[in-house]
Amino acid sequence: MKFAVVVFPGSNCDMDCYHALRDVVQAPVECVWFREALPPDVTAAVIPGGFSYGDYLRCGALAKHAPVMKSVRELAAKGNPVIGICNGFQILTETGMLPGALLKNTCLHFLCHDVDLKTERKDTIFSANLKDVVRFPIAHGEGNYYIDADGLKRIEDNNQVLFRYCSPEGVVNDGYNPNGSLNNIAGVLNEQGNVLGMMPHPERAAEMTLGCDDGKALFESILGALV
Amino acid sequence: MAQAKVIVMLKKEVSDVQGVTIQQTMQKLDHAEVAKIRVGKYFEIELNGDGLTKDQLKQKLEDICENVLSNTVVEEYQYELLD
Repeated sequence: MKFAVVVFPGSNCDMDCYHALRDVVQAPVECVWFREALPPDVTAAVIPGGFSYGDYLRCGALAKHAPVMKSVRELAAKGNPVIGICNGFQILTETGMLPGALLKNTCLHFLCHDVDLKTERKDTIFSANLKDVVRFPIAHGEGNYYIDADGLKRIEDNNQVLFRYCSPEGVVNDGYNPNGSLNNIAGVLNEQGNVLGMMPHPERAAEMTLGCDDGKALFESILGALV
Repeated sequence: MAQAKVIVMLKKEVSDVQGVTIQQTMQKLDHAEVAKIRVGKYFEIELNGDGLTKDQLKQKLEDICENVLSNTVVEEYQYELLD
């Protein structure tokens, strides 16, 4: 069992993810450069946040074509866990591995603050150990989740929404929607449930030194599913 | 060298928050006649298409538009291949 953290030119949360995995949950992990393929012993991949390729063209649009993504697709196709955080989420939607797309925040501001998230399911490889409501930071300009009406119905019917922006008590409404995301969606799964994309950053809330350790449980959940 | 022009716009049904914000600012700038603005991207492309027919070049261009220049989940594109 081993994690890979994929590094693109412009990634800036790669070392945070690496630290959370290696030092906080003590999992075997290595960073993999975008020009390489994932090593054969890798069983889970993290696509970290940042500004891959400077966000040129569209967020995630150029990273989609990076050589490493072929092996990320292959890993996901085998049913192994793949998680994309922030820019990683944008990359996974660009590749089509996750439904929908991330548009500019409706307020047009870059948002950088903590949010509360309702964990919609505990029966996934990412969420078994998570609390009902978790608090993670967001840091994005393009986190406004969009999908057409048919797609929205499909992902809701299939229970593919894992996280929604909510109040500290877990109430989901427009008042707690920071960026205009449809149905307050902050994180979605693929149909098979082994690929997760989320705008909030669990790796930035993985130990009390950072003020909150709710994110630790997400990495522990993946670890628990792999062992 | 063949030349192409590509325009990528958000689909009509997708809210264009940049366009709305610019339009609202226009109103405040004494340009009340501006009723709507939509923001898109414009590309000028030079294609080294030696030995390719116009149809083959069009196919290349379509592939570029579909798979790189636009995200068809939220955007639509139009292109023009110039002689």
